[in-house]
Amino acid sequence: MNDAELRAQLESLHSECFGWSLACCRRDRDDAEEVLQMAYLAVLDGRARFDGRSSFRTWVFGVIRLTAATLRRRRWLRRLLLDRHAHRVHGPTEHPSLEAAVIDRDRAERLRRALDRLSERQRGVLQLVFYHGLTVDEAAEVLGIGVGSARTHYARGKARLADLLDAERR
Amino acid sequence: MSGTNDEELRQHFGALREVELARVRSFAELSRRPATLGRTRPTRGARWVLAGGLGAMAAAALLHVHMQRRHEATWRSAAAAISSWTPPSDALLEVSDRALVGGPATLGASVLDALMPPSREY
Repeated sequence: MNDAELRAQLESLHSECFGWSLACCRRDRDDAEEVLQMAYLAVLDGRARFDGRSSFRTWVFGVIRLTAATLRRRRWLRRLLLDRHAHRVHGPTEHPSLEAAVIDRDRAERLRRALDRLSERQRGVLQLVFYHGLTVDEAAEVLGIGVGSARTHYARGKARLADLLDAERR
Repeated sequence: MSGTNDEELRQHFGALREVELARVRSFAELSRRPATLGRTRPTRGARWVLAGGLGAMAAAALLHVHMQRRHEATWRSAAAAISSWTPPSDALLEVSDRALVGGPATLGASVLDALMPPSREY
């Protein structure tokens, strides 16, 4: 796949990739953009190569997941070394009124809170299946885990999420 | 028993998707801008910490060099002492053989008695 084809593929999946990047960064938009940018550059520079063993989307989601993990590790190290002497420059803060127009905002908020209480794996599988429309097998591939394990996370995560949403509704 | 089914979960995720993907920075923007790892930058305090760290490293290096030189000097002086050491029997080399065997042999005395300092008395 040449550079132009890669770009075209990435661009067609851009929104999806951003959504997955958000999930990998615990819904932090600044981090998600940074991760996505690093992942794109890794793909376009040839540091991450698509070998055609899976679908392009599954592969690029895997790259994003690994990039997010790398960024988390670097952040952790940096915090360890420079925590007291570094300050975080925040991007533009999300203003609640900007999203007020969205009809399902409450629903989205409740889901965000509930997802926060799931384990990382459960959250990942459910995000990939319900948000991105992947199969559980594809989700397993993205997360680098076995299909059996993914199925377990899926079933348990779904049950727990349903309970959490029910509890919020009450 | 949970009242939330798959369809409801799908609706929740659909809502979240709509909210989150309503505004996304363009692909062109995100694929062009150079990556900046972390949005943290060192403050004045951090610069002092870095400068202090570098200073400490330089001091440690100097101390190491100094200690190594001292160690080498000790070895050099020890080596010099060893090389200048001469055994007491070297005195024999400075005496001509004629002086050694010149006199008549005497019972109870040695030709070396005149050359070497007296040792313990029995």
